[in-house]
Parts: sequence; structure tokens; C-alpha cells
Amino acid sequence: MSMDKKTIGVSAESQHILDLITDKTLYRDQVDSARFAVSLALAKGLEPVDGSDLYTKWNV
Amino acid sequence: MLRVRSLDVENFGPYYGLQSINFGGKDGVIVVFGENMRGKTSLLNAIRFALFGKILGRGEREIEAHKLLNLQAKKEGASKFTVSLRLEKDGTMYDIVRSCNAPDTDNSEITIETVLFVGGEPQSQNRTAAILAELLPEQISRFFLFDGELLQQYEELLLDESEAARGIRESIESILGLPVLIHGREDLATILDDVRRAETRSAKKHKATEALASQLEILNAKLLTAKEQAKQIKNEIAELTKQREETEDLLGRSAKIEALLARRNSIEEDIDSLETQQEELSQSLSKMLAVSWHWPLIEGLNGRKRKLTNEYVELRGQIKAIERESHLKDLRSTAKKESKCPVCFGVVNPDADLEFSNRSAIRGDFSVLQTREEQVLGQINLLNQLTLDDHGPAAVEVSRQLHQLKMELQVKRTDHGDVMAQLLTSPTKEVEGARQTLGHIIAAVQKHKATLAVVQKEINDFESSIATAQQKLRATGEPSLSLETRRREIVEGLRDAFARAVDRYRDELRGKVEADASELFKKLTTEPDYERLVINKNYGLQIQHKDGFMVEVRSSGAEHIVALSLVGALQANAPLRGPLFIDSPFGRLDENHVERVVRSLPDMAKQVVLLVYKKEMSEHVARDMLKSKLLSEYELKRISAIHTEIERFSGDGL
Repeated sequence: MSMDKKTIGVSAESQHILDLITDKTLYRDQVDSARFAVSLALAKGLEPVDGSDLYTKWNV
Repeated sequence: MLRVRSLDVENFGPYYGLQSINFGGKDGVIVVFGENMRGKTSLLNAIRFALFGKILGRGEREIEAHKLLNLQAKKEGASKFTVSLRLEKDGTMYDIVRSCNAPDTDNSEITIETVLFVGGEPQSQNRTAAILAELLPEQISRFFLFDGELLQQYEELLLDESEAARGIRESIESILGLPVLIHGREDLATILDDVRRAETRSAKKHKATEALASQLEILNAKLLTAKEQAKQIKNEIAELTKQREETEDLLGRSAKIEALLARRNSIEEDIDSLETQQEELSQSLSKMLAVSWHWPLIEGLNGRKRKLTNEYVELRGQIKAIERESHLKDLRSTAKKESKCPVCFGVVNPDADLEFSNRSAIRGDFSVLQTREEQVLGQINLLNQLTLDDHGPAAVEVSRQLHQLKMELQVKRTDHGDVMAQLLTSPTKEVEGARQTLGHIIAAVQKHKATLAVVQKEINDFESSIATAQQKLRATGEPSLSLETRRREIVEGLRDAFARAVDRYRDELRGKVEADASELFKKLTTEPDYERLVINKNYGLQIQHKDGFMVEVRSSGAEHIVALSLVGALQANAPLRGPLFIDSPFGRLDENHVERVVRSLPDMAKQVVLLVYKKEMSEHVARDMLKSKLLSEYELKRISAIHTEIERFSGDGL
């Protein structure tokens, strides 16, 4: 049985992209842009990547 | 034909290190793109510095040369900049290398060195000055190297009677070659004085003419003195006029300062308004972006909802069918048991086959269907509870508006920077004193002019008396005087011919300039109702409507087009054909006019160099309008605020 995620982590590369988005766009909070990224990934049917090098960024 | 072949600048203005532009030897147009503060005007100044050792700032005021040392180079300890200009005139190459060395800011330490090579041969310093003065006289250089933003000022000036207008009129007559005739007339007046004296000297040798000769001698002496006095007064008036021009310029700048301040305030208001709009739209977009994660899911969730709704409808149908079958089964069972139909109460044969319902088998398992129906309904209700924001298209529109605002703000901020730069270089303290000085100068000029009128009348009287005495001398019939008298009469005839020629040439030139300017104007303007241009004595041009009246009030764009027409006409009629360097030529023109002007540039001069920013004229306009006449394109690239590099990005037609 799958469990809902309690923590959300990002890779260093994703963090870099999040920083860029915060810097260059009007997303005020990185969690908003991260939500958008997740939502887009879901809509596109992308497969999750290996999460071994992620570090926890948000507790949900 | 004078042509600029190449320009090398080293540590000059924003150009750090050695930077070069090759203008080539072909007829056509070279475009140098550069945004504000990248160094377009510095390129014009580099050419001015090479030719005249001078650098002009805003309002054509001279700037001390050493201030143009590149700041990056200065930081690294350099104290010298060099400009090398290669010109070609009638097949001969002229290489001017001028450098400015300023080891300290103390002016006494500043040295400017100039070396001129003609056909590869170095020239002496004396020859250098003379050759350069002949190559492109400074007075007429404004029609070869000019700031497009000043174009309309020419036209404004040419329509009034100010000293500045006189200066420009003299420049125009100079480029058109009129001084050749004027100098001829003046030289002949000097020669006439000599031959008159010779005639008088000869007459004194004979008794019959001695008395008349003495009278003539006195008259000639008085005439010479009066002419000297007139010359001196004219020099003083010229000096005062120069002072008046400088003072008026200073006061003009005061009016300009007020205009600049008003413009700055207006721009700042615009910037505030745009920034407020930008902030409001940014906040609005930020709010939309906070729920932007909805947008990619909307399509999928709506699809899911549609699918579940369809499934629910299908399930409901199946459940109803089962319920109907079940009810029929109950009815059949009752009918069989009671031998009577429970619906119509008709008699039922107990042996009758009542199992016809078996022909439509009950589909599915009722309880499974009901469970599924509950699940589907639950999911539909869950999805209905999700309120997804669907403002994606609105966010795109807001984003577009924000981009537009950003562009407008950028333009306004650039304008603001320009206005501030002009304000910072405008003197303010001197203005008050200048007002008083101007009053004194005007009074002095009036006094000198009154004196000059008196002296001029004396000169006319002496001339008249001399003419009478000369007639008497001739009437004596002294044969030995005939040669001297004949010589004098020839010189008098020549002087009068030159005097008439000046007026006639001037009138004919005006007519040619008017015709050529009108022809060019009709090519440039988009207004078909404008018939032609009409020239005044100051070379000011007015637009004549096809119904015959003059257009009194002109837009700044129209001023610009008229001024460009004048420049083109002057180029066409000048004895010296040269290059046309225009800095920011299209600032006031709309797209249609820009296209027309660009298309006509090759007709205005054989070599045209445009210094433009891309908003003023895009690359595709240059390419579409000029086609093969576009020789090459350069870009002034920003490396830093004090370092620009010149980069050629197209053009092998040189």
C-alpha cells in the first residue's frame, strides 16, 4: 500500500532551477513554483526519478 | 569626392584599447548600431578630433580633449589616447594620426600631437594645418558630421534673424562655394586701390594733371583711412557678435535647462505611473502564480470528471434495468401463484410459460454495481469539491502587459538618463551675469553699427569724388595716362562683375537648393498634399501646400524631414562632395518616414554612415530598404560602462 509523502525533497539541480525561477519570475515562494513543477510533471505523465540524492526541503 | 576609409580609436571615450571601423571605398551606406551611452557620438567626435583637434558636447559646445581618455585605460595608468583617420580624396590617401597626452589633470601638461601622411609621405606641421584646413574646412563640417537631434534646430534657426541663423547661413554659403566669389570681390577692391594710386602717381608727373592728381591723392588717402576704420569697426562688431552668440548660447541653455527640467519632470511622472501599473500587475500575476499548479491539472481532472460521469450514467442505467427485471420477476411470480395478473387482473393460465424475461438476462451483479456506483459518485463529489483556478490565459495576458510596461519603462529611463546627462553639463550660475552682459553687448553693437554707417557714407562720398576726379583726369586727354586709366577701368569692371556675380550666384544656388530640397522632400514625406519647399534668404525652407498656402505650424517630424531635405540638397550642390555621418537621424520619425529616408540615403551622398539605436531603425529595415547599398553593419557592444567594443556583424561589400 502506497503512503502519502510527508516530506518533499529536491535535488541540487532542481534547487538551482528553483532559485532561478524565484529570481527571474514573479513566483514569490519556491513552494509555489515547486507545486507547479510537480503538477506539470503529473500532467505530462513523467516518471519520478531516483530520489537518493534529494534533501528534504518541505514538510507537508 | 572626399571619403572616410577607416577610423582607429585607441583608449578614446568608451573605446578601451584599439578599436577599428573600416568604411571601405565603395558607394553606399554603413550602419553602426549602438544603444544609448555606447559611443555613437564619440565616433563622430573621434573624426572631429582627428580633423580639427576639437571635441563637441551637447549643444555643440567644445569639450576639453583630455576628458575623452578612456576611464578603464586611465585606471590602468594610461594617459594618452590616439585617433587615426584615413581619408581619400580624388585618389590620394590622407592619414591623420592625432593623439592627446594628459599625464595629469593639470591643463599645462596636456599635449596634442598631429601627424599627417599624404600618399604615405609625412608632412611638416605647417603643411599639415594648411592641408587639413583645405581637406574639410571646419566651418562646413557640420553638414558632413552632424547630430540628427540638432537637425530641426537648423530649420528653426534658418527661419529667424538671430546671430546663430547668420552663422548657419554663412556655413551654408561656405559649403556651396560662395566665399570664392566673395574673396575675389575683396581682392579686386584691394587691387583697385593699388591701380588708383598708380594712376594718381602717373598724373602727378604732368603739369596739366598735377592739381587733379593731388586732389585724387588726398581723396585716395582719405578713402583708405575710412576703409581701414570701417574694417576695424567690422572686426569689433564681429568680436562683439561672437561674444553675443556665446552669451545668447548661455541664455539659450538657461531656457533649455527649464525645458529640460520640465521634460525630466514629465518623464519622472510617466515612470512613476508605469511603475505603479507594473507593481499592480506584478502583484496580480504573483497571486495567479501561487495557484499556477492548478493549470496543468485542469485538463486531466476535467477529463477524469467526464469519464466518471459517463461511468455513473452507465451504472445508473444498468442498476435501473436490474431493478426493472426484479420487479417484473415479482409480478410474474404473483401471477403464477394467484392465476391472475396483478396489473390487469386478467386470468393467467398456470401452465403458461412466464419465464420470457429470461430472454434478457440480468446483467451484472447488482451489489457490485451498487458499490461501484457509490465509489464513482463519491469520486465525482470529491472532484466537484475541488475548485481549480483557470486563470492561465489571463496570466499570459498579464505577463504580456508586464513585458510591454517593462519596455516602455526602459525607454523612459533611457530618456531620463539623457535628460539628466544634459542637465548635469548645463551651467546655471553664469546665466544671471550673462543677461547683463548681453545688454551691454547689444548696446555696443548698435553704437558700432551707427559709426560704421557714418564711415560707410564717407567711403561712398570719397568713391564718388574720386570717380568725378578721375573723369576730369581723363577729360584732360593726357596721353601718357591712358595705360594707367585703362588698367583702373578694367579692374573696376572686374570688381563690379564679381560683386554682381556674388548676388547672382547666391540667387541661382538658392534656386537649385530649393529645387533639390523639394524633390528630396517629396520622396521623404508621406503627405501627398505637400507640393514643394520654398526657400528664404536664410536658406530656411517652408512647406507649400498644393492649394498654394504655406504650412505655418510643423510637427517635429516634419521639421526633421525638411532639415534632411536641406542637408541632401546642400550635398548635391556643394563643390566638395563628402561623406554624410548622421548620429541618431530618425528619433522623431515614424516607421513610414524612417523607411522612406533610409531608401533615399544613397541619393543624399555617396558615402553615408548611420549611427543609430535599434529602436530607431531595425536591422531588417536597413536590409530591406537599402539592399545592395547596405555595405556593412557594425555594433557597439557593451563590455562595461567604460568599455565598448566595435564589432562588425555583417557586410563584405566594402
